[in-house]
Amino acid sequence: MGHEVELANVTKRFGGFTALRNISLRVPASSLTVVLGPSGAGKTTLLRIIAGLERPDEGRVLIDGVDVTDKPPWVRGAVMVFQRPALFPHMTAAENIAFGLEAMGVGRDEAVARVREVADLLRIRHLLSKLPDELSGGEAQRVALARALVLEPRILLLDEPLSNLDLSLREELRAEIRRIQRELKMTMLYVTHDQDEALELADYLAIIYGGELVEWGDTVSVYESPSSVRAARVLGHNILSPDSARKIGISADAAIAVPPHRVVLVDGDKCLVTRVARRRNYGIVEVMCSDTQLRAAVGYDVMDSVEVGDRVGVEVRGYSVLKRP
Amino acid sequence: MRREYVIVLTVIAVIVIGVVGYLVLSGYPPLAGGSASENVVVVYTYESLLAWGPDPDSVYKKVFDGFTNATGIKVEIRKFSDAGEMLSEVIRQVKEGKVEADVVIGIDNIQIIKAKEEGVLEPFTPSNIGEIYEWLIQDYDPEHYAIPYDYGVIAFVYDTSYISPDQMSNLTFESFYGDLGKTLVVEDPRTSSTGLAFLLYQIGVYEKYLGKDWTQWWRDVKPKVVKSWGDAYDLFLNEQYHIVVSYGTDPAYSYFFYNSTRYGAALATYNGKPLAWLQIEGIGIVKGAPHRKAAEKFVEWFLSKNVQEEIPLNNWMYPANKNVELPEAYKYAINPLDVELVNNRLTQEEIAANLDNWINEWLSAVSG
Amino acid sequence: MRVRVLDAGSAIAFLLLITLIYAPAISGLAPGLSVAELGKVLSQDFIRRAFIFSLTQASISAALATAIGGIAAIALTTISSKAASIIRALALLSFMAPPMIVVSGFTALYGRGGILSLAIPPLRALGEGFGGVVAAHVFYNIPLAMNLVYSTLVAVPSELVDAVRIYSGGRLWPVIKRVVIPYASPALIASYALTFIYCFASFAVPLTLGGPAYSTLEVYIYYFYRMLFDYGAAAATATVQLAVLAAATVLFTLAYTRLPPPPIGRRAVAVLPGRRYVKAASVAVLIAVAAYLTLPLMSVIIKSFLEPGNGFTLRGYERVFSPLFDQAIGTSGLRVIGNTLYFAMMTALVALTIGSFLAFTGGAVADALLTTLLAISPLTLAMGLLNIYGGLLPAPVLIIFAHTIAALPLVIKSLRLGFLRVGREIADAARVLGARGLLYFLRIVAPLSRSSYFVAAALAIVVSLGEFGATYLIARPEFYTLGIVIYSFRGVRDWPASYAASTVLLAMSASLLLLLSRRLERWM
Repeated sequence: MGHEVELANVTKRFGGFTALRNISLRVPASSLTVVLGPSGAGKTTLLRIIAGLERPDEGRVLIDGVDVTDKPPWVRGAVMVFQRPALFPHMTAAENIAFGLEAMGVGRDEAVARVREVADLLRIRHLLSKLPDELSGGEAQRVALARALVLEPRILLLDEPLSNLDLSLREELRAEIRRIQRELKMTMLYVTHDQDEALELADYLAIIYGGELVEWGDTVSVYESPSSVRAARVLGHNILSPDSARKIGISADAAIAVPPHRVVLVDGDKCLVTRVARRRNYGIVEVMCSDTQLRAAVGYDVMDSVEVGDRVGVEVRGYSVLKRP
Repeated sequence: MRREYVIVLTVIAVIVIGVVGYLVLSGYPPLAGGSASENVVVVYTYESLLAWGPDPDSVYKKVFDGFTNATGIKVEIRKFSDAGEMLSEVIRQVKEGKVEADVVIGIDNIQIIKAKEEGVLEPFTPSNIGEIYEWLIQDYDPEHYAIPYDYGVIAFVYDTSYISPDQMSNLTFESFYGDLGKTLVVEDPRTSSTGLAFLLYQIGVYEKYLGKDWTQWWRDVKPKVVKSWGDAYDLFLNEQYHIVVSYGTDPAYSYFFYNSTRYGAALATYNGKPLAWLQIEGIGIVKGAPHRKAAEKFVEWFLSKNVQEEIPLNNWMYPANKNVELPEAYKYAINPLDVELVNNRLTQEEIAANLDNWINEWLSAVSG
Repeated sequence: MRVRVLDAGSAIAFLLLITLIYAPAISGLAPGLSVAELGKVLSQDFIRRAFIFSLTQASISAALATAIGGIAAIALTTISSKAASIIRALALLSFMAPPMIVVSGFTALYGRGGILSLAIPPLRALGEGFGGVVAAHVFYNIPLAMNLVYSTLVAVPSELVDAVRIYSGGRLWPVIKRVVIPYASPALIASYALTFIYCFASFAVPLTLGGPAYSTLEVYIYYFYRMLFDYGAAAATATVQLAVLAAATVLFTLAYTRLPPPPIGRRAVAVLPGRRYVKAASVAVLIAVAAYLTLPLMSVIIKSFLEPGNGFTLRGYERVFSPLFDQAIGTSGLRVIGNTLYFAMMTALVALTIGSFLAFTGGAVADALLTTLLAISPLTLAMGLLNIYGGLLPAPVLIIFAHTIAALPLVIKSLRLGFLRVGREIADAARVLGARGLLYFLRIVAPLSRSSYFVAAALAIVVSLGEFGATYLIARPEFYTLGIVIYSFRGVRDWPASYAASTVLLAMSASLLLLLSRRLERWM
């Protein structure tokens, strides 16, 4: 059985600064929802409000339909994993993992069994007797994850848990989290500013910008066809005014968003290559087509065949109309 | 899982309760310990009463257990750091109407003024009052609110390793203009009863004998002034100052204990006659004492020859009882009977009326 | 943001403060809280003079103690943390030394005909008059300033020091100006205010070292109370004193709340470049400070073996360690030693228990209220305690009570610093995992701030061992402590015993502090 979280018109201010503005969001049960947004957008505050570490100034938080806005963290069944592992430095990994069980009053034998179980799930059994000082970053984050999972929370909140790890570890753990989510059918809310992470993990994608929820939906449709200007900006899509769009043969009554991977380079001379950049696994080619700048994500073969100053043609294979700001 | 800290805290709590409980149960009388029984007398005194002798324990037994043996009345003693502390506690008790003390020992001839003013004592004329020097009673309190039990003079005690007895003979206050004054240490009259007695001595000599402004001496000599007799004596024994304001029995003390005549005592003279300030200590019954009868018996006991003969070597003062013979060491002490007492001219009434002003004037003299 | 685990906790903390601590204090002050009494006292010329003197000497003493303590703290960062923790702990000896010892030591060294002033005549200025007062106050308060400043220097990020050092071409001054002063300034202000409070209410030191011209208000509280038996005037003077100290307390609290929380598991960053001359200068500074702090105590130790005018003796120690009843102190020497240790331990336990609770739940207002306790003279407090609890509680409990009250402000300060150390991340993690109340405190906060528990325990012990004023008033002989019997022995002219008792007191504190300093080093 999965559990669902709902935010209804949540607003949170810190002094004169509004961190979250009128956010309403329903996280479906047993799904992994990723909250994507630039730093300072309010993502972490959103998680802290769900966890009960902050109280919203307006609006309600509901878990499984029950209003928990005024409930303390420990009765909500929402456990949070932080950007840094925040392991208790004076306890071994096993004690760290068992801590929440201790707080719940779980008996010693049962606690030991459950710690073992979750340690196996995360493949950290060999680390159990170590102190946090003796763990590497990845190991520490696994322990932190285990510390949350062992409680079998209704909702698991993850606040950029992998952002301090190096790439290969990040990918490894990302897969692990996905696997566990599938295995346990747990409702997870995952905050990140990393699009790779978001796309790989998310069943649903929420985009937050300047404290507002600007886009929400299943991952593919949000990513391929956002309907708000700010979401498109967060995603790094090309944003074209109706005029510019018309110049490349698309007529729309509002601005459009063109994902870079939907821009295809073809033979032609309408556009000038202004920049070529190599990325991991793909390349970026920027072209100028009569005052309209477009960014294309291409394979290495295509990228290697052009140079700055070449003239090329472009074809837009997909776009969405931006009906909202 | 681990509950060590809870356990540690519990253990601590147990220790706390246990140890405090133990102390309470181990026979410590509660503070509000006024006993209802008539067969007890509650005596307040200062800490060092009769404690300066070669064997203070047996003296204590003789004086206090001796009283119990003789009368069947138990003595409950409460000691205070000094007589001032004791008097303020008694004043508090009388004011609040919760009197626990029966007898107070150690009120001096300046404190008696305040004690009478505050009305904390009740007159009592012991049956053996005839054994006490009448002149002492007249000097101290003719109304018998308290009865003197010992007396002695304030003196300049000096170290003969540095100051020759010649320099101290025919001493006057004026002698301290110059080198002697630089090596004199005195006590602050605001915080030390010795210091207050010395100030009255000096004022009496200047006002009543020399007819001069007494503040001038302080202004010109500027002796070193310290908080307490202990601080002053510390500097003296450290050989940093060689004359200290102390008591006329000091040379007898060091002769008795160290067989040493290194320390001498001298007085200021007037026309060749030594002048002295007498400090008298008295014993009295507290107004509203819960055990009045027992208190009366105790006062009489304390003034009897039996107790009084312990005064010279244990309190280092002259006993008020005229039947007591003085020990040999007292040949080195200044006997108040041999000197002229400034107290006779500077009366208690005058002191009571002027003390505040004098202290203020003294303060501006030494601060100037 | 601080985690507020027990909402009712704050309310209870306040109640605790008011009933247990403030009621006695106010009851002690009550007789002076009238316009007539205040007017009478303030119209006295000598009171006004004492007021001005108290203010002047406290301002100057506090400035010097803070400056020297601050420099010593910087010097401490250049030596090994083990040595630093030993020096920090032992320096507290001077903080607890009974005034009698200090005054006696200072006059023996710097006074007329003193050991050092004979050799170096200008040092005479430290032995009497205004200079003597300031010198002794500096002696007392260097450890406070040094410890406070040092604990903020621990929080300086090493990257910052490196950056400034690189951009300034390795010069010294920019590091001091850009790093040390900004980081240390709240600690400097806090220790200035704290030192000011202690100096303002000083009593024995100005009277004996300074002389009557240098009387503080505290002298007159004693004078009114003990010589004139004028409780109204005494309490009114205490109220005037309290008013000034309350202002200093506000300053202290403001500065204190701005102290950076010391991070976990970080050693002091060597804020100064590791050049040889810097190191040499630091060591020289530390040796000078150590000498200044230990020499006056040394002279006391020496005197404990000397019969005045009669050479070497052990008689003093025989009397102090005697199991037999001693008339001069109304109990046996051994019992006194036992009492002293007992009160010190109990004070540490009680102050740490109550202090944990208050520091954990009390918030800033409770903290400020507690700090004002420093401003209430022990005499006033003891009077109040006797007024309210005298008939209810046995004397030993009252003594522990009085010592605890004296220790609490310092205990709570070091605990609160320790609690800040836990940090928001750990606190949040614990909360979402379900930790709350006692469990959170016992399993997370207390273990993570244990080094501050050792500091707090050290302070509580030191305060208890050194406490004199209140104990004196409350105790009867069977509960006398070493701090009292040093005066009792003096009262019956037994100088070796008096100094032997002082030496035992110092030795006890020193060994307790050393024991704690080892712990301190391991967790700092």
